[in-house]
Amino acid sequence: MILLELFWICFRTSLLSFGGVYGALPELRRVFVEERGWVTLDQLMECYVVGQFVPGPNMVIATLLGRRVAGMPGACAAFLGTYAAPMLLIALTATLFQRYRRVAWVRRVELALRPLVIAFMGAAALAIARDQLTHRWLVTLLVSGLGATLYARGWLRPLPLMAVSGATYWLLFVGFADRLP
Amino acid sequence: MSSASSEVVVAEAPRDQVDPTATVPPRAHGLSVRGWLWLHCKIGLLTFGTGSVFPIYERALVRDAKALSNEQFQQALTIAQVLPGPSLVTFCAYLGGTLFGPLVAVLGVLAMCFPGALWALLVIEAVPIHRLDVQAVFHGFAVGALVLLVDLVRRLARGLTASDRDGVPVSNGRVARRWLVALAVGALVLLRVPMAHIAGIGVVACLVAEFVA
Repeated sequence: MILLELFWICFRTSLLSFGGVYGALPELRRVFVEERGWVTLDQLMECYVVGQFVPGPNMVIATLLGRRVAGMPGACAAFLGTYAAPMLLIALTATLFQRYRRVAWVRRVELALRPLVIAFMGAAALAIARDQLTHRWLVTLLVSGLGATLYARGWLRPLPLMAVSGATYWLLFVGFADRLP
Repeated sequence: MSSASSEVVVAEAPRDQVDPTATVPPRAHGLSVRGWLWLHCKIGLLTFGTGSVFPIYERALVRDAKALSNEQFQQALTIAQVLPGPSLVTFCAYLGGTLFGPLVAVLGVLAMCFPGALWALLVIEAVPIHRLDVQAVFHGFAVGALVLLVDLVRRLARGLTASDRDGVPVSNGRVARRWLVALAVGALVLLRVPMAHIAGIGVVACLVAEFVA
């Protein structure tokens, strides 16, 4: 029964949340911490932090919470519930969109909604910049400056850029520790 | 078709069926099913740092494989962002279904999500994430993702000048209203207003700016 519960909770949360984990986090906290008491707030936040850094969607937090609640079967139930919801939703809406995309007003609505995409992406970039500059501003500027230069000149593709950024930040930390702000 | 001569008369598409985003014919794009799934395996295994995935998609699908035009990419991104649920999964499923069909869409989502789930289980069990030097690596990933995101936003911003009619440029006033909505919604996100509220307000604001103002 707990596996079905986990599946349904994750399915419902995924379906009703906007903005991925940012929209889902309050509901996950309400259900997993406050209502069911399955995990503590610290454990929830630990899952959130890990989800921010590992590859793939950051909704992987649900998989980690499922693991905490019911082991690997719980992780599987939460995984399926989380990702089945958007799959079903897109199956429905994509069919409609493809059927009517040639109609001019549909095209205009799509254009009208583009500012939302810019807003979400831009805000995500600003939020990351704010967090990193608060943490170690000089190191952040050095690493981002190096990364931006190498990427803009075409010397690095995206995945190697991530690796170089991670390695450079680590080297600066290990080499200079607290001497660099 | 004229019956009096051998000329073929091609009727113009009616004005209400303009389609500036020409559909890429099936299999005419430079991306195979194997290439699609391999891209998602790489994303699922290697893209550490939230925010880096959409720029990687744009680079791989628009610039490298030329499987999508800029317009099609923006269209898919818009759909993914306005629908509820993880936008990355929605984006992947939509494009997979459009380019290859529903089965490949499901496989693409699994190829992306499954390795990441395994990574997450491994990291939380075995990686000492409380150590400062380990966190330094993750901070580096975040900075790399920031560089990619800024580049993507710069490219996407050009889409705010797109017109719904071929050959008819969009007015400066409409472009300005689109920018105003983008900045206002971005401010709401930074102020940590609940995302469901932002989505609702944002959609209404976008439609008002486009159709009413």
